[in-house]
Amino acid sequence: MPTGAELSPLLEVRGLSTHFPAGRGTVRAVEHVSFRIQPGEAVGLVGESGSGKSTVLRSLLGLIRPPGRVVAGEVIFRGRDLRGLGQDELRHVRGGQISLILQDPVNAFNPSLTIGDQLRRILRLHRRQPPAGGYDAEITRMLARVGVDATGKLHQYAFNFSQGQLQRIMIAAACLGGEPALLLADEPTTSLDVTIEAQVLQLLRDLRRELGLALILVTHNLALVAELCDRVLVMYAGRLIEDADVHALFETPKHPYTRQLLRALPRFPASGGRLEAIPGSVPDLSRLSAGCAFAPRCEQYLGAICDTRVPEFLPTGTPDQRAACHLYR
Amino acid sequence: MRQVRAELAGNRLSLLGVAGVALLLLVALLGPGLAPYDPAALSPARLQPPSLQHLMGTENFGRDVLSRFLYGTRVSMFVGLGAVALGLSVGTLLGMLAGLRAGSPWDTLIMRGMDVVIAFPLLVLVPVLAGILQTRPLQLGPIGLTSITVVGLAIGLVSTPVFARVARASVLAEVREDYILAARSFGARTRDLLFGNLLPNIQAPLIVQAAFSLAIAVAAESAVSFLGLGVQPPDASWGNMLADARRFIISGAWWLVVFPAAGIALTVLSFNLLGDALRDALDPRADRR
Repeated sequence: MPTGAELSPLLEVRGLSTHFPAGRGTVRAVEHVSFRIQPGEAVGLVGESGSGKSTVLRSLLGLIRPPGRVVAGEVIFRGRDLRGLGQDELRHVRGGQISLILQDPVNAFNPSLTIGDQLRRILRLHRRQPPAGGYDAEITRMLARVGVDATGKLHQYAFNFSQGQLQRIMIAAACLGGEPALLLADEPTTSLDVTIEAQVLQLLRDLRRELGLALILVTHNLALVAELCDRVLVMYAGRLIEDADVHALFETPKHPYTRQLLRALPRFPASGGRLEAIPGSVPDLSRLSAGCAFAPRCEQYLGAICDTRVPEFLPTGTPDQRAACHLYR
Repeated sequence: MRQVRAELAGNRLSLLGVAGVALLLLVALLGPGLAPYDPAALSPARLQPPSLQHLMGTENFGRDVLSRFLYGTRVSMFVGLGAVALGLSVGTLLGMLAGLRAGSPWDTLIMRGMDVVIAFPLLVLVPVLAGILQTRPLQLGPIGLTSITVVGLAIGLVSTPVFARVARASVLAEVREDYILAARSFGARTRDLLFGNLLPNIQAPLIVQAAFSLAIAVAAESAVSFLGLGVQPPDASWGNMLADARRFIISGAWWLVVFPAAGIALTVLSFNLLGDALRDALDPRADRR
């Protein structure tokens, strides 16, 4: 297995910051986030609600709605900074090479247009000429690939399909652009029931193997990450705090937040004791302190330094594992 | 669509509105074919009360009132439909752009511009515009503007802000939906978002508003023509027929007033009923009994 340094990464994010103006202050939803994704790699992006996971995904594709704004950083995809691209070039990357899959497939389809109509539009946006056999043949083929029998169903609306089917169709749509390389999945199975979830996960696994897709999976379900991902990025209060190989993360979590988070998972067989919780609550993103955002809740609080300096990403002694914590200075 | 039809058929008032509008459109379309006389032909039979030869009587130049009424229907419908088509298309486009770029300078520019137009009452602005535009014969390149077209343009301009507001408000609600985010994430262009994704989802309130605006447009055209600033003789319009009739009311020529006035009243009523019916039929929140 070649190490990251030898391969040129598929995606390299450097110092990404996204802010939303709010009332008097600014919500720093994403602050100085940097990471790399290798071709074909599956990376889990985990954190609590409001930690900035989804905002990272949307920032990558320039989908932040004003007045929110990506204020700094580079998003280098295949050697090009997506933030510097014109609208037309960016449009071809969206849906062509990088696709976003949303949490709730029911709302992700236009209620007034048929499924076939919506898929044809995506195809037309990304293919200069109709594919051999026509648009519908290509769509039906792709839908069959994700396990949806589309015969006679292309003229139906989203409400005619089940949630599981719609999420499969969404995944098919993500691959219709022609040369998909990276899938951004924003809690793709949260709205599905357990059996359907398992099927959709299997589908994602199969597609990754066949098409060599890289994946960024946003979730707060750590079990999902353990099952599907090679590497994990942990976010807290808009910043990345740990970047680790998936096995290392579960066996030897390095950041105090990650440790406390893993301890808070329910275990089976149940110990019978109370479930552990992290004391305190997530800080207000518009009023962050000068230091580490986790300091007030941290059980390994070191004193003044934690309150005055934002910790940098530091090696932790374990290969493939870095944490943003003053413990590792 | 089938639901809409069922809804319209299920209510007597709605049915009346639909029938009235259908009748008006039919008359407007066939008007000249139905007219028994040339509406401009003078005759010595002046100020005749309604009779079998002249079902609506004749006026002071001996012209047949029924024929003029039928031509007037066509003019009213033409001005009304044209004005609303103009207001609907321009207003919707501007409103959607403003909604999509809400909070931007574009939004401010468009909507404050609409506020300026809306600040003047319709029945003030239309005569003023028509008056200004008609001080000399208008010639735009090869297109000469008749008084009918000028009135249509003026009413169209005045009816634009309503559509802009409805479109903007609807877009503001829709643009937060996930399907818009999804469409953008799949590479949709601004024009794809506007016409492909947003328009089909905001058309219902616009259609309803169009029906109400038609009623207003017809009334406005009559009012302006009545004041002598709208459709000019020899073209007939319900408004200028009423204006001509003023001098003969005292002498008892009731037929000169009643028929054009009934035309205006029935048109406004029909389009209002249709608008109400469409609102009930198209609004998913409306109570379906």
